[in-house]
Amino acid sequence: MKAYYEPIVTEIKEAKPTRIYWRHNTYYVQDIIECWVIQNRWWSREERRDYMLVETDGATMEIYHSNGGWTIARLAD
Amino acid sequence: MFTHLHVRSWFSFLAGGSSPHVLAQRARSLGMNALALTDVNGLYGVVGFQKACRAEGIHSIIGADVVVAGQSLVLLAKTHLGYQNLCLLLTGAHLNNRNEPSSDIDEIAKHCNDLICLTGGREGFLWQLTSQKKTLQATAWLQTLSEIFPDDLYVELTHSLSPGDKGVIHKLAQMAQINNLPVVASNDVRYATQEDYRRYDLLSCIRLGIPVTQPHELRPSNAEAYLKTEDDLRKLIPWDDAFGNTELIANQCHVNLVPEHIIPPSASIPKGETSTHYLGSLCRTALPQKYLLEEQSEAKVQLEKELAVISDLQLEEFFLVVHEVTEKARHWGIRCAGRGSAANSIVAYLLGITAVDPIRYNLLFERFLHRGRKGTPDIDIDFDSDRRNEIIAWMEEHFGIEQTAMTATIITYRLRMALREVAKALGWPMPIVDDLSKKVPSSNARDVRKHREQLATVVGESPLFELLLDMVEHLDGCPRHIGQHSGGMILSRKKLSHFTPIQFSANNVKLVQFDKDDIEAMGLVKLDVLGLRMLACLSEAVELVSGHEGKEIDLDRLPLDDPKVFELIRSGKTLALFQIESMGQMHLIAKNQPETFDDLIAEIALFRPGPLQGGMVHPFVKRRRGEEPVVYDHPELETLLEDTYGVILFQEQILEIAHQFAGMSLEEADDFRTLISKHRDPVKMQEMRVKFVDGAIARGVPCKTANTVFDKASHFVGYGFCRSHAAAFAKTVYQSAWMKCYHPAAYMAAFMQHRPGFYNQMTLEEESRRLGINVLYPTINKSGTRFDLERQVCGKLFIRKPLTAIKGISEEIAQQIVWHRLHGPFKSTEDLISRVWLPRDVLDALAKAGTLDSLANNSRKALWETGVLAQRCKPTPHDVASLIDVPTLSEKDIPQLPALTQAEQLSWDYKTQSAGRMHPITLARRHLNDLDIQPINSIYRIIPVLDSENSRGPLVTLAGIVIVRQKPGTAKGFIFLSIEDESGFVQCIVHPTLQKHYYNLLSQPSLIVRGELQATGNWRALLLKEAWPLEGIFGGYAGFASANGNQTRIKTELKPSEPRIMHDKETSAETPMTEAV
Repeated sequence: MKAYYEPIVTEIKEAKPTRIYWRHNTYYVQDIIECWVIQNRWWSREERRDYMLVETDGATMEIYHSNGGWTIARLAD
Repeated sequence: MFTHLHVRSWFSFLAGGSSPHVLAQRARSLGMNALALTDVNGLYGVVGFQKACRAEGIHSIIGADVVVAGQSLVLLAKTHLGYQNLCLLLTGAHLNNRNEPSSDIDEIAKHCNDLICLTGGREGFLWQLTSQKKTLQATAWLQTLSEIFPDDLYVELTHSLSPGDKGVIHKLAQMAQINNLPVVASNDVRYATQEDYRRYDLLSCIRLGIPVTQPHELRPSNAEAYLKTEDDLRKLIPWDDAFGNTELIANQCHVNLVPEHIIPPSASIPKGETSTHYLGSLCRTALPQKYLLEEQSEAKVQLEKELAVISDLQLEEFFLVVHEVTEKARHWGIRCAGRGSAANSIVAYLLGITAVDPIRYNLLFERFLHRGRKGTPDIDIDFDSDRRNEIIAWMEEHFGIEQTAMTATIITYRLRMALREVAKALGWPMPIVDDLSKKVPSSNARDVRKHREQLATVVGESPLFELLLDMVEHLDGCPRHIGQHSGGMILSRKKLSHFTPIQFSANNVKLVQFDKDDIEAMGLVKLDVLGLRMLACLSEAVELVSGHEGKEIDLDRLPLDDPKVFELIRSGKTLALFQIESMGQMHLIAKNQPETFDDLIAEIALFRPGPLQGGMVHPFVKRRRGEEPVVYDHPELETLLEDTYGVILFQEQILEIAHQFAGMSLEEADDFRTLISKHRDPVKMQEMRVKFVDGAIARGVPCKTANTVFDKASHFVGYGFCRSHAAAFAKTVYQSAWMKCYHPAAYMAAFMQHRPGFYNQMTLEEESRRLGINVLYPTINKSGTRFDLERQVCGKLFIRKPLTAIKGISEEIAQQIVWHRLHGPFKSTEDLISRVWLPRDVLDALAKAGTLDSLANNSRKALWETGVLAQRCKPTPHDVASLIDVPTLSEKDIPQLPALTQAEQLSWDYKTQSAGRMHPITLARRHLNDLDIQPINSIYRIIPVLDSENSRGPLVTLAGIVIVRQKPGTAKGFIFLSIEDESGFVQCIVHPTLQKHYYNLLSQPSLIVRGELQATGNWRALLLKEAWPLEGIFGGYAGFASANGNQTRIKTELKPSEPRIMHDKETSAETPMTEAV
């Protein structure tokens, strides 16, 4: 997977992402493969990150939600 | 209902983040009705956990996270048999590897009965194999486990929102289905709430020895391992049966660790006898030997009353066992003395367990034992510290090696340790960590913010500093590791494996996994086998008298009213006496002037934090001296407090007031005593006040009086002695005073050998000289391995220091020298070197200490000779030189060497023995005289005429070596410094406002001090006004005159001047009368 760490816009329905807007493209979420949480830098006050590995119509994306915004972490080629 | 079955507490020692109590509370608050505790390789927290669960009204399940071949396996005890198997498994794991306990699968198979096995969470072997996609090996492991636990194996499904968890648990569920095994849901809990995650991760870093910034596979990636609700877990683990199975398991597990009865050890009882009859007959036989005819009827009544209580509580065998132990010690000539509340019992007295007559000294049995007492009674026995191990070895053999072990102590984080470990984990370098820990006293970790200012001087204010303080606070009370109780030996009727895993301490002592409170809760009996150096000192002193004076002394039969002994105590010459040698005690003695053994008991009890902080000392002393009237708040209190002049001094009096004045039952009264002595919980105190006052009112006491008495009783804060304990200690005080009075040489020699006090060797030698006993330096042909006595031509006995008194001369080296000396005295340094292999540094130390003066005429020549010989001949321990090998010294080898000057000799004495043949101040006396600085003993000739308006004494200037520095918590910030010169010693009281100015100066080893003289009888002290470093006289450095001249300047410097630091008003503030214990 290739790392990007860029902000994205995500549409949420029933606490689950349904559409992702990134680099002028729209990706429809077809499946949430896995969820996990990273929150291991308590000494530096870094925010909690709620990760998701999602299958979209264009690619498999690793995205996370943190501090009120969404980020794409990595993208499967 | 779902139950968490895999839960670690902070009793996993750095691998769990919450207390069992908090976990139980959290489970209850989530509406759960059961909870398991499964700490890593131990059951350390299970007793507290079970008690906490009972308090919360939930069912406790006992288990452990057992490491098997490096991987975690969760075992839960279904029954007490299962619990015993768990104990055996854990014992084996700790025996296999003390540092990293680990069991093996064969051991598990051997002790699997009545245990339920969960395959473990992320650290389990099954999880590891599955996540590595080693399906075949994972299946094989499951099959191995299912053969051992055919009906009791569950595949654990845990999801902690870590990457990969979802995939692994799906595979695990699939594998369970294929192998026809049940699944069970868990969260592999490490802490109660998400807030506790920081502490858990910090502890993990401390355990792994890494800073928090360093990643590690064993550190959690998030804060999800907390005690979650069933709903939260169901979202992650979508198998219903995994939740239902937790309830099935919980319903199968029933282990009760907290029985309602005591399990005493078994005593040796003659055939055909019952324990009740045997105990009674031993006491009844001893009674006429210990009581005069006219005393016997009262003693018999008391004895029968106590025997009835002991019988009701089924404690006969406990008393018989303690009797066996003390009898064995006496049979072997090992000095022992029971202390604590046991001395309230006539049974203990008649059995020889304690030495104080409870009837003669009006000791209350109910403080020790009553029918309402919960748990086992405390019997503490002090043994000669030199020989305590002999008794322990005998107890292990006699009561069974599998039925005896030492009690553990749980070492929890305190301020210094927490500060060090948190600072290190947050990345500060070690020199900073050291500096930080030096800035704080020994205190609770939660008090860290009280020292914020001092700590900030090291690292400065920053967000990281704030985090440091925060995390240190969070570690308060958290267990760090297990330690060994000072003497609590458990004697069990059954094998200890029924109750606890056993492990070994670093010094190979067998330990249980529970502390004394847990042991008591489990119904087990412990006997405190304590080592007391004062008893060793007294034993050795008696032996020295026997050997050198031909007199046999039975200390236990001394009459307790010898006027000379009390004269010695009243004179204040109590240095080296048991319990009363501190300056604070000397001051109290000067005021109180004890005349009888009862006075001595009060003296011991007065000097405790309880009476000191409760302000009971001054009223007691004044009333005793007739300076203020003895008054009682209520006439009923007169009988209870008459012998302490209306002042509450002993724990027994608290008990009696609650029982007789407030009408509480003995059980309630004992709870009241415990509450005010230790816990002082404000809510419980208020509840107790209501009960106390209501009880007193019901007995006709006015409400206001009842409240006043409650207030006075509750002022008995902190630790106070029970009368029996004070009486037991007073006896040892008296014995030590008697020995110092009649056999000072033997006593001081034995005291130096065992060092039971807190003064240094120099002060002890000075005290001996003041008693007219010279302390002879060690010599190669006379000194052995212990302090000894030598009869002088004048007939006096002097003390000969042993070879081991020299730094660097170990017991082994001294023994080697003594062994070779058995063939005849050493004739020369060549002779010594040819017969004993000694390393060069040892030879140097022997020469410098004057040990070889008899062979070489003086120390400098001895040092030269051994140096030459050591260079020419270098034998090794395996190749001792023969006389032929050692070259003979010729005259030309040794140049003309000057004899040592006094200063040189003193310097060498101090370097080698920490004490000199003369006091160092002797050398400064001429200079001190020039400056009108008087010897310390001169102040004892001054009787200050105090100005009635401001009560100030005359200003005096003294100089000396600092021998004691104290800043007790009970002294309102005052520092107490004791300085000593060649004539005596005196205490200097330093007001808190002076300390900032003199902060560095007060840590100097020697001082010139000027202060107001305070006097009470034979006691003198200085209320410090000014201070200078003593080196200033000799040094010649900036700010101070040199010894070579400019003495006028020194005189000017030391002349009385305007107060530099404090105004008179400030200095006349009330000073605490005594220092703390």
